[in-house]
Amino acid sequence: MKGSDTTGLGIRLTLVALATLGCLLAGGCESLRPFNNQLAAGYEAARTVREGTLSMLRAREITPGQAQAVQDKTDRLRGSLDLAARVHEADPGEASGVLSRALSAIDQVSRCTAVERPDLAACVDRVEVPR
Amino acid sequence: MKIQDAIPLLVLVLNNAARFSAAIGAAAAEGREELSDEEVRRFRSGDDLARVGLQAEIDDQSRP
Repeated sequence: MKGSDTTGLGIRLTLVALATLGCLLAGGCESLRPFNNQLAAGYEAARTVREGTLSMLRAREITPGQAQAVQDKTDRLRGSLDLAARVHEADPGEASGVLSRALSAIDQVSRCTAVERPDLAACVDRVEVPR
Repeated sequence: MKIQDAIPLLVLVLNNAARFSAAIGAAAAEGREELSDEEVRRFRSGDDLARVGLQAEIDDQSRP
């Protein structure tokens, strides 16, 4: 297989993986409707972003600086998940809103790592952190 | 991305999705449609561990 073929296949495989993650993140799966299920999906998605970034860093596909940008943004989004968990009992509506926006933002970060490799840090920087 | 790098990434995502699905399935088997707070904390702890691993590799590769 030529280099360009393997690159294309690699991107397609990554997109399949992201589609799977997207199903979890978008709340399209019926089992994700309860708040705690969405919250757990968010933590799992954050973990997936970090582990995927680690894999790419070890493969020298990205630089330590790019990996740090992903790590820092994921930390902030993880803070949004924690915020949603804290306010859920007092204000379920607000908590669901924060959680939904955080899930969407984590999805954006994961897409940055897949398709915006040269501008990864800038792409991640554009992702807004829900408050 | 090279194929040899993409496949581990795919496996990683599918494994993580499977872990989540297994937790949902286990809760459903007990007649619950929502994960407990303790189960959510376990997912949170998984992210904690992933964070530590990534930071260690970043720091390692950042050394001159």
